[in-house]
Amino acid sequence: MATVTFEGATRFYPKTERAAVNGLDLEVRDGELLVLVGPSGCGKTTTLRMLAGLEHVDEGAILIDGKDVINLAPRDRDIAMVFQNYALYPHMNVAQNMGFALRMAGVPKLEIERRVRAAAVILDLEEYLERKPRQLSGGQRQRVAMGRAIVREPRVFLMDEPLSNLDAQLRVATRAEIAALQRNLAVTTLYVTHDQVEAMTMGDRVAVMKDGFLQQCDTPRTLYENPTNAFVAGFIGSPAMNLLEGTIEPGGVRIGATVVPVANGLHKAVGKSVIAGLRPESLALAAAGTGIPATVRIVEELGAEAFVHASLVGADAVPQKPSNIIARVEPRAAPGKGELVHFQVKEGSMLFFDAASGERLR
Amino acid sequence: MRPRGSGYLFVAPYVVLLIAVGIYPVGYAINLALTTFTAHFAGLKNFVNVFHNPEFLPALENVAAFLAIWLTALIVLVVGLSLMLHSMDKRISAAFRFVLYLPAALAGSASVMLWLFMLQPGKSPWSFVLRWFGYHSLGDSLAPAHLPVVFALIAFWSGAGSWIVVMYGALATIPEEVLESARLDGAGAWRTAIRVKLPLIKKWIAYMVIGAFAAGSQLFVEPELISEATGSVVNQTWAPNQLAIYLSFRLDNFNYAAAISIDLLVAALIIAAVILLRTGLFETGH
Amino acid sequence: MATVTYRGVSRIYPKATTKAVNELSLEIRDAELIVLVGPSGCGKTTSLRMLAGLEPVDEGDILVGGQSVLRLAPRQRDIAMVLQNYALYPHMNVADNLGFALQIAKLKKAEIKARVAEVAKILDLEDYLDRKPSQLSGGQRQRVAMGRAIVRQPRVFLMDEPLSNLDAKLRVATRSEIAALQRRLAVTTVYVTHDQVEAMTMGDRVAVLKDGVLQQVDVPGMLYESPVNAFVAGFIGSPAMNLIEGTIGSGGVTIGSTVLPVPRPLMKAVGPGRVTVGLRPEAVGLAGDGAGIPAVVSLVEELGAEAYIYAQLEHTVRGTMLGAVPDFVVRVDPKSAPRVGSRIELHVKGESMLLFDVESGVRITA
Repeated sequence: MATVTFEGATRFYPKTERAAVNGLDLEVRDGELLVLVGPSGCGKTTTLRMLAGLEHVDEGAILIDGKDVINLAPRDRDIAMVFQNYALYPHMNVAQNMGFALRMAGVPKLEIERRVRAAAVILDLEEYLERKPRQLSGGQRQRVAMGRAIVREPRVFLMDEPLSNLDAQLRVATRAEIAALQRNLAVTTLYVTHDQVEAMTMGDRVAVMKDGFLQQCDTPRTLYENPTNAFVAGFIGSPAMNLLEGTIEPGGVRIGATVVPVANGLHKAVGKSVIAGLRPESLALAAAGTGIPATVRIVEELGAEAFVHASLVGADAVPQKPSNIIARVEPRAAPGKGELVHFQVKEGSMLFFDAASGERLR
Repeated sequence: MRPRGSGYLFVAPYVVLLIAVGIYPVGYAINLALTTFTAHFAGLKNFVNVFHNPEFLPALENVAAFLAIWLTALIVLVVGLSLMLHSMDKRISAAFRFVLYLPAALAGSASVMLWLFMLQPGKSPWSFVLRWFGYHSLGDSLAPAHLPVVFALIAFWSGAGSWIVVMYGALATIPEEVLESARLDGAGAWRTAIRVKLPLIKKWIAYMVIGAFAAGSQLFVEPELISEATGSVVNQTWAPNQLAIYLSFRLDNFNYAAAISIDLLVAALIIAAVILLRTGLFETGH
Repeated sequence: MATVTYRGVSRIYPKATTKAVNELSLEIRDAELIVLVGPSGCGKTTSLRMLAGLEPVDEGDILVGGQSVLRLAPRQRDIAMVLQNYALYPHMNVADNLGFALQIAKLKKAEIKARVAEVAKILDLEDYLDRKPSQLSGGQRQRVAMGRAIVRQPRVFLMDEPLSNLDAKLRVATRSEIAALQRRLAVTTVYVTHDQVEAMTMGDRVAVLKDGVLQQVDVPGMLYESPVNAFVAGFIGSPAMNLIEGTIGSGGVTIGSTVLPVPRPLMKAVGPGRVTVGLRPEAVGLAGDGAGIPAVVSLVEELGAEAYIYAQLEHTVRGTMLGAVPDFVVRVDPKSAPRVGSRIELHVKGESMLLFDVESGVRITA
């Protein structure tokens, strides 16, 4: 049980031009599951490793429960980590793997046995305690890795993409289990992933990073509905939000050859270049002559819904720039390839971003 | 489906060599060991006679003493040094590994000559150490009781470097994540070495012991060269292999010599088999 | 013309008791993108490798363009494969990687250069031709791996989970690019993945495998709406279809203590007794007339455009795994999602209920 605070934490790798993590200010609340998400190279794993003590902190401080830990060795920080590839000791069986840290800490044997057994029950590993890692399936190894962390009853859990080596189906099932487990144990958890769906479904709050900088840290709902910049808007949500270049005109925004009416609030910005953000579900198929015209490139059928990938066209059916748009439709109403369709924008659903900086315009 | 033909073609030259300089000589030796000088079948008579040869048992004792010291030193020091190097900063350990490897690059005979020089009080830069031990001449340094230690020293000096490189390579196969996990689990450098690294290089240690036993039991260059260089100080039949050579080329008794060679071969094979079975060296499935 | 036919193909690994691939029969049409999908160990990769010639065929026959290829070595089959880990030659630059197979085939230098340039253009690799794989990003390496296959202009493309090493976002973007590319090149493609979303979005048809046996092969829409058994129903679609046991009685199907009406045609086809009921998350709602199945919300997953409720049905025994095993998933509008711990009632929307035999899992159809 603890809070974790990053204060201006910075990490520079030698011989690189930019910082891997740049002046990170982030607070993880007690008992919270905070997800660090972002594309490869954004600094999320480096941040996690700085907290673990596996990575040097060049500037700033990292506090656990108010105390700076950057000079403490990993084992003195009272944290436990689940590695992406699990990092199980190949020569030890499941019980020994789970008990290793406790043995190192000098915990009495009976207590170790008790804790290992308790964790094995929670994780459904009781039958496998004698097995070696190579005799386990991927999902079982993942649970052993989690068991190793749980058994230590640490103040903070660190998880480095623990689901990425699992089959897609197992991943979906396991993420709900991990979320439920974290809730039950109520241990402060910092969770790293590159998968924004995982971030959205698991995190109490989600911190989006890019190129070493924190972009936004908020609840999943807020990130989705109220992104602070175009990067967050385009990163959160799958399929990605449509980010279309346009110009503000009286009464609306011009995208390609169409002017989409905007209710109010942008009159002062007439003539400004903006990026208009439209989520696939805010677009609906409309009758000809209204809305944004586009020709269908492909239709992705996902069973419960379908996504239309289309190219914007002008009045004369000439392809326009910006060209690509994705819209969500009912699978039964999906248009065919090559068809000319029109998209209507749901009232009030468009977001605007500065075309140069990407910052959100309100 | 699989290009079978080319596979055999690749292996063929090796198989030819294996037969020519490996299997055939062994077969020939077995034949010699089981026959008399006049090529009559003699059963195990040669083996029995060799056993009764007054120089055989002492030679066996000599080599056994040597092996005890050498193998222990190899296992403890090579593994220990490799573990230490592995915990150090990469660049420093690379420099050390290079230095430790240098002696191994020297030819065996050159090493022996070097050591002869080092062991001679009066000529050696370590004279003061030798004198402190009470040795005032080469004969003192090379007293019979000292020989197993001396040969072990020479063999270690010229052989350890290669094994350290191999053992270090074995340590390098341990995934970095596992070692980081150990750090997080609270294991310091010592405990990580003992509880995590050591168990994971068991196979390589077994491999080293098998190779070292085979080479050590057939010790020849060191005692023979010292014997030649010092005349009477070390006799020519100190090690079983020397005895075999002596019997072959001095006494023309090829049969006895073959018997000794086969003895050595069988001993090495037995040790190898025991180690293989106990450590599962060839088991895959990691 | 490159059709691919598997005829009763089997593969048994030495010392194994069950067949890795069990009498697979499948007809793949010319220029089709067919996806082989299934959980780990279902035989999809083995099937692909048998077509490639990397795995021996123990029973049956494989035909490409109507001709059996069993006796042909991989390089004689005129196929190209994209491997999961790309297997790029680390010491060669992109141009050489792309041209390697052509060099082996002893094509003229000018021809190799031309083909490499063309493929580099299609895959947007023109600026990277001089770089080595270690200097490329994951996405770029993936494109080089594909380029190596395309440049050979084979009759059949084989792809073994080519997207699994990419970031999630890149995966979503790349899969539509691969689908578009395949359509453009019109080369018969056999694609293996464990991700059913990938299968659904990319495949002209999808073949679902389990334990070496082909379960169903159909267009994605049909697999979703008309799964042939409970396994396919539970595998296709994410989150998975809810499969719960119930008893058929006079009024419908009884789940716990609630009776749900069963569509008329199905009622006629199914006999009384136990049955497995299949309800997709989007086929269940929280409001309806009459009583629904009572449940307690244990988890809410917010996905932005929709939310999923994980609920514990009140009449089922609680599991021990990780605290609570929610056994029912419902899709709701994120704005009206109930809170964790609240009690809800589940109603079936419309006629979307599916019934499966409780023993065999086979779907009961009208």
